Amino acid sequence: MICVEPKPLFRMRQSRASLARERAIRARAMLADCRLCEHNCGVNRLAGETGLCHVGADSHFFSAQVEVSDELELIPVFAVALSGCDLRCDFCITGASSWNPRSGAGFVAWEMAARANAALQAGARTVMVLGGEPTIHLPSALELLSLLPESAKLVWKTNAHGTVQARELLDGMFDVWLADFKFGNDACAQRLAKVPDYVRVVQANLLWANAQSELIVRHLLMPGHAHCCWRPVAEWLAEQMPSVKVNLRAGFWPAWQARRHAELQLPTSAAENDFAFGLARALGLNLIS
Amino acid sequence: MKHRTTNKVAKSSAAKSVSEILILPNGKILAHNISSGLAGVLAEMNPTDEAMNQRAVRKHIFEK
Repeated sequence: MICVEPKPLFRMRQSRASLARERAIRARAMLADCRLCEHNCGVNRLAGETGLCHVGADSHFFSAQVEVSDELELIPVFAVALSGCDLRCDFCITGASSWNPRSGAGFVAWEMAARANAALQAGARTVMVLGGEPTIHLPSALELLSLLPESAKLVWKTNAHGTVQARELLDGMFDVWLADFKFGNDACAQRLAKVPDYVRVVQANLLWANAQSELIVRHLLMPGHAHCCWRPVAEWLAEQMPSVKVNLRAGFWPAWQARRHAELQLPTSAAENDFAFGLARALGLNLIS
Repeated sequence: MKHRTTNKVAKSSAAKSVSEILILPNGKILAHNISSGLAGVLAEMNPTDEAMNQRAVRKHIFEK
């Protein structure tokens, strides 16, 4: 007699909230040997150690509000900005808050979920988790997700400097990845953001995100960097993901520590903007605003 | 001292909406973290800015 275990006709798909709850626990445990970003510090954040981002076990947020300055297809967005970042971009528009992991108020997931739900009910189209850099706050971000409705459209706004381990926890969690590709070469990344091996890491993250979810790539055009940074970024995007949505931002403003760099003292020139957008059009990039 | 001031600003922004604008000498206005209210103001200041007009329209959707 042959006895065959009947296969289930279908397997109930685990809800995003349920998955997020499980992964939040895993993510918090991973803080004991933190390798969420590619600095790979390996510090025990649960024991009070901190790595290059200076973020401990708990999260703070420096802004949580409805905004309309992001991509038109995402706004109005309820944007939650978590304090602390693993990069050190001297031109960071929110540098004071982004570099300081204690800025703002303590993050409490259920309180933030209540604010996000209220915003959604009032007409916000999306909920965006950003920073600083949210990857280094994965436990808190996932705890927030576990309390949001399945129908909420969720956006992960990242510097794309996360590790494979971080991406595993993020798989299937967010509807849209909104990722920066700031520098077109490692020398500029090292000089302006103190990050090594930048291009390889970001490209790996973008390729993964493009395969897993909707992806929008942002590039902030910087004065003096149209050729060394934007051109290689644009050419790589055109070659590797020609249909990806690209938001080329020309509103550079000399903020934070930009004065440390001679070329970052002023906004981009009209000629630089013309070159950058002309290049994008020539390469056939899918520009959005 | 400068950092202390900055932290006070950051703490208040966790509770209140904060947008920032920068007006350049040539009259060009740069803005970030644009709230719905600011989008309306910017759209009225420059009605030919199509992108800002669309953001202001979203403002009205949000306020319904």
